[in-house]
Amino acid sequence: MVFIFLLSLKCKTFSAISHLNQQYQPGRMQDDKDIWDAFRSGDESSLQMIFDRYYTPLFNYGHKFSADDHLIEDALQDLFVKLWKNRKTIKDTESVRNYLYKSFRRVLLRMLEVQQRKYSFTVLDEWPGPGQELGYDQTLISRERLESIRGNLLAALEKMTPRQREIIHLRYYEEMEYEEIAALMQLSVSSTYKLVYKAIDTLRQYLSKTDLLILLAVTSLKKI
Amino acid sequence: MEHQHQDYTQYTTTTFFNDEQFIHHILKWDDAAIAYWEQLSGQYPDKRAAMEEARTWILLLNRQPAYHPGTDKSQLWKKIANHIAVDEHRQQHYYKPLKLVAKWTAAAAAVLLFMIAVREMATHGEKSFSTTFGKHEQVILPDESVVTLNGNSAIHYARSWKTDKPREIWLNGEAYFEVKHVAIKNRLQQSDSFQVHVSDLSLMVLGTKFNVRNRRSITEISLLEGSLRIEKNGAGAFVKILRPGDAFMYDSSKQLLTAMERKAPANKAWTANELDLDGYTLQEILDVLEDNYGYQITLATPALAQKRLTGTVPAANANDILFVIRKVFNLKISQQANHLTISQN
Repeated sequence: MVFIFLLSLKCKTFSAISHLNQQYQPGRMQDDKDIWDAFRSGDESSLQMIFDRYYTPLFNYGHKFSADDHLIEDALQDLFVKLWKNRKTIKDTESVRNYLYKSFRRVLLRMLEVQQRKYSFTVLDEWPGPGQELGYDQTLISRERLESIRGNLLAALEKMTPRQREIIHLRYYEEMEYEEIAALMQLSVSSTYKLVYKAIDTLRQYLSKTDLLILLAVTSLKKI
Repeated sequence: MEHQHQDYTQYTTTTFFNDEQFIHHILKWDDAAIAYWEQLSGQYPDKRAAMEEARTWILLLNRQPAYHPGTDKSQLWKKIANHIAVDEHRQQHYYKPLKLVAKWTAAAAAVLLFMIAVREMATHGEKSFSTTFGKHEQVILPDESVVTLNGNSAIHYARSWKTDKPREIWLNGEAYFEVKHVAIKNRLQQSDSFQVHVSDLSLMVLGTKFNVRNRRSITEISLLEGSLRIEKNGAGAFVKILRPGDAFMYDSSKQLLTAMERKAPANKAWTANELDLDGYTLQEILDVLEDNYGYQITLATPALAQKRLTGTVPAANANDILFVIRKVFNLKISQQANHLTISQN
């Protein structure tokens, strides 16, 4: 019973947090489209709205590829100037976010290619500071356990290829569907599945070595 | 959300982590899903740790704080807006006028092209020349061969002579040909030949000079230089090769080719505005007057028809000839418009 109570408590905290972190909401989809249409018909302020809305998510995504803020800025500038120039030929889109991500990714990867930098992708480099927690009841999971779980995940992510890390990021952070990820990364849906499968397998293989640790951790779980 | 009941006994952290429904209940809030997983957690106490870990992973990944760069957002927009403004300016002042110019140029070019095409089409195909009664005309063909047309005669030919096809020309009436020799020595090709279609005959030549006269179902071919082959296809087909000086006469009503009494040079005398009367009967002279000068002649004294005469008379116009025959044969010629009645004086 206590456990159930705690879970429901978590729900509340999570829902509050999810508003802060997510830059786009399903409810915004229609809104997005209206702005997109206005932009396509030549309204510059609509483009600025799109810029305002997607600056942080796109920058965040770009940051996973490169730690060079100026390069990402250049890519963003390139993207939005191109959007404006091509506004008459840009088609209506199912998802403005996916369109922007895909275009941005292409621009950025080309820039990296020009600089002859390797395609890389980092996940989990931004770790909430001491004040920022995951947002659930600390009584449920100890600080040490959280650290160890995170350590496991980080180590397993290390073992993955950049492409696999990108898919993990798109799936769990951006909350994209397989089809969306496939379209964004210009892969087939089946090869996206395969990449996820391999990524998960990497995790599993890594974890089998630390199973004992987990067992120990389980026993140390605090229960009220 | 409908839950497919899985066998969770084999589930580990990774399987939970990768389970769509499990991810869903953590990321998307829906009471039924949460209730389901709570119930499951009670059902499989040994899986609680794995679930917990998978949940933590998902949350760790999902709750990563967005990266905040050291660069300035509004500064970046200013740069973008600047670029856009410059681009707009260029569009207004360069590309749009340029586009307009290009559009008009294209339109003008299209009209011009259309006009040229129409002209080409109009002039494409056959080219023809014809002369009226009593007039001569020289025509220079595309290969620089020269055709001299006697009065009341016509030729036509395809405007463009392709180098791989024989040169072809169609004749009605009388013409003297000076055909340019285009064949490379010792290497004769079909394309080098020059063909004259007259009546139902084809005259095949290379470089030659010859006269062709086609009047009243009779075709006379007189070769002055080179060689010439007469071909008749279809019924009564024949081939005859002429030597210089030869003159042959073909009657298309009888399909009969016979050697002519008159010699070849005499048959081209008209080109020098003369009429070589050797071998002409009076009737034949009158035929020439009808054919070339457009008279209608009635010979009131039929006995005169077969009378002959030798010598060359000037033939710059019909009156020259009429004068000569009147004097020589002592004729009376009465004229009404272009109708002549000839009788013995």
